[in-house]
Amino acid sequence: MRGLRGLWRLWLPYVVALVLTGIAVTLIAFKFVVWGYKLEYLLPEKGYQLTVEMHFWEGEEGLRIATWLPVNDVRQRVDRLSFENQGIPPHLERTESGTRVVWEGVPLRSSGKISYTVVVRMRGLRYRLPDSLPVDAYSSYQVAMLSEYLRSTEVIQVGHPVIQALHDSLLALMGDTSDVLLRIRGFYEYVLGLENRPFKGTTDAVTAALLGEASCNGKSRLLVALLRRSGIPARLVGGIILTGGRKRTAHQWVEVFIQGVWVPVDPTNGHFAYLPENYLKLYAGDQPLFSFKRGLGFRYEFVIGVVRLPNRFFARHLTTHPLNAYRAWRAFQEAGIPLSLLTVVLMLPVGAFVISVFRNVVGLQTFGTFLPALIAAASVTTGLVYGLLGFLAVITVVSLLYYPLERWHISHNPRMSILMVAVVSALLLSGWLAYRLEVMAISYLALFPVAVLTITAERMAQTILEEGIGKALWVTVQTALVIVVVYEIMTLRVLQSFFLAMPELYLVLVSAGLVLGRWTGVRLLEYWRFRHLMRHM
Amino acid sequence: MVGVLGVCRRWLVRLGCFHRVLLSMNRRNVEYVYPYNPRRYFLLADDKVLAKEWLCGLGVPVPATYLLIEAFGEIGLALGVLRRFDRFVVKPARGSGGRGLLLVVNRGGRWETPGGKLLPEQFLRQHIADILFGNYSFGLTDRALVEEFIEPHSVFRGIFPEGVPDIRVIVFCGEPVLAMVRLPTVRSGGRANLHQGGLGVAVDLATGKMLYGLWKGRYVTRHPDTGKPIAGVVLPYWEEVIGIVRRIGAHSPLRYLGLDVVLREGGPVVMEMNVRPGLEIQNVTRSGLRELLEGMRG
Repeated sequence: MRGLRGLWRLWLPYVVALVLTGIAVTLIAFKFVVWGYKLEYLLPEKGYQLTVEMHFWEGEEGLRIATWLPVNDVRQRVDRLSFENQGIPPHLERTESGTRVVWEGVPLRSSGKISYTVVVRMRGLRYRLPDSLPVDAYSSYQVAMLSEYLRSTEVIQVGHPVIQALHDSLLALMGDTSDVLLRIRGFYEYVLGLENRPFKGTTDAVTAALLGEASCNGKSRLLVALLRRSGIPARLVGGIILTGGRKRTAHQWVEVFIQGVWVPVDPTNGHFAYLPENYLKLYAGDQPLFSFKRGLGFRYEFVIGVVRLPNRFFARHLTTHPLNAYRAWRAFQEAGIPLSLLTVVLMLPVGAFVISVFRNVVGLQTFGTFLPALIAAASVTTGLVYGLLGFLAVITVVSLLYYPLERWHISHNPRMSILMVAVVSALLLSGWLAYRLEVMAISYLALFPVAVLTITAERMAQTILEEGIGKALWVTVQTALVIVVVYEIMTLRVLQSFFLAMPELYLVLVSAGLVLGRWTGVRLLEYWRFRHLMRHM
Repeated sequence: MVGVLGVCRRWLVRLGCFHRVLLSMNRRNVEYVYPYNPRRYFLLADDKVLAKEWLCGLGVPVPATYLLIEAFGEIGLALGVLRRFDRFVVKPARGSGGRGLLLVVNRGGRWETPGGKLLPEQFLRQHIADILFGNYSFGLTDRALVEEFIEPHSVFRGIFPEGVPDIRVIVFCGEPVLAMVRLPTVRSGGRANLHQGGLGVAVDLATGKMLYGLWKGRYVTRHPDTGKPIAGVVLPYWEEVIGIVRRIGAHSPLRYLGLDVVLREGGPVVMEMNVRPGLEIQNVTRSGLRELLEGMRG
């Protein structure tokens, strides 16, 4: 009887864990099968973050820099837009070509960086073309309205004999020329067949035709010239192909007006009536991407990264379906608590669990049990780099201060208040620095959990005194490592969406905690720690 | 090919053996500390004043208590009384790992550390205040315990002249399981803590003979600083040590304990009881606690 009871006690945590997981699984199954939850509305979407950096120098007499913001259309949508301005407010102008952004004025410093950052949702799009399009497809009304796109320009020399000759010979090669689509296709194939060359600067249509090779802008101009020569309205389009990393190459392609729609054609990379998802359109027309005041030193760079964005249908989906954390948040919303904060709080237990795995399974030592989770949570607003730097800075400040406080035997409570003054001052300083350096992300460091940080930093200082700086540094490294991993997990959009939609996942987390808490296995680092025992067996 | 397989096999066997033998941190907590040490008795070990009272009740020798200072108003009076003692130790009742420990020697009316550093009265007053403020007890208010300065047995003086070496015995369900001696070194600054560079020496439970030491990841038979042999030295009063350990084990409501015993001329003295004894003793003695403890559970 006693043995049975003991056995029951031993297995009870596992039984509870199993039951909790069962409840969670049942609820989730109900949500998807009965209550109509759809994964495709919960999962985050892919997006791109693009920063257009414009470095300038010799701007003592003021500057004027203009460029284009991404277009909003069926293929691409700007989700977020922010500027870094050097004290000059950006001025937006809507033009036929797109949205121009202009900085004009005297900057804070004569050299520096202006930039804008956009987060865009993109999708690839294939245009369905009619089977055929007669030559007289364009009405005289359309031709009159679109005369701008049929015109000859200095670099798209529609009337030039070279273009004329090329146009006519291509038509002759094509044979049947009564179908506009066939003509477009024919010109496209020809230009696509020309050698791609990474020429710098502007190549006009005639040069491209004569050389038989060009970069994207030369090829696009040649194609536009041929199309216009045939009476088909066409224009250049400028943008950026979004590939990860830093680059300086922009891209140009062509749009052809077919039955009321501007259909994209890229004679450089070979896309016909189709644009891949990573083509970001900035403007239409034969425009420079950047223009700036004469005499100003200027250099630009694109910084591109892939980001996960919340699903567009997420909020609507969750408000119309029962039993999720999003609906609970709507009550907090009245009190002015943003969803982002709720999400961070929601992910804290996940972070805490990850830390306990690191401590109990790997055997890492961290300052404070849950400090890494709090630092990671605070870093959600500052970004990981500034979060880690803030953590290290505070720890350093406190450790340096700790020595005199320890030597003068300042008692614990007053000591903590002094250390906290130092920590808060350091955070104020970071705010001032943020203002001076215009890196606003730093100012979010003020959101750091000051008290926890102070206590932790004091522990660090004690470790230095009692076990040496080497040990303290080693624990700091481990703490930083855990912060990084916890941050990455806590900011996983998939996980965030899941916990918002299915808070019953907490039951799974509790179960995992119960099982981990009963786990008696060897921590990874203990294989190293007890190597002497292992060697002498 | 066969050789590689053989090596793999040997390592697998060794790894399996390691798992069977080693008491890991997780297992110590889940299978020994939590079930065998009821939380409500933790204070019995964590508070040195309570521990001493309890041990005295059992008739176990402990260092004589000179004074117990509980309030700031008592410090001045206490210092006056302490003038009468030749040497004494000030420690926080709830400190751990030797934190807040201060050894004081009265040399011609002046207080000094054993190393000869002057300790002004103001310093001592401040130190006791720090203890009362809980500086060494994780922010809890605490009591300051002033007790007898235990002079270690000459056996240890011959090996390394400074500091106070102690014996750590793991006791489970009333029986001693493993024992080691912790010797101070130059690197440990006179302290006996292993993680501060102290030298751990395995002790044969049956005879009290010191076997070998582990220092900086190497097994040694001599003290690394003085070169004096440690292997083969027999600890005095070993039977008494085991007797005391058994008596504590038989009466303690805490069933899995680490006992710290100091040997002096005249016999052993129990310094501390530990509810979460460290696992490093397994490296020092080259024996796994798991195997030993499971054997005792039956």
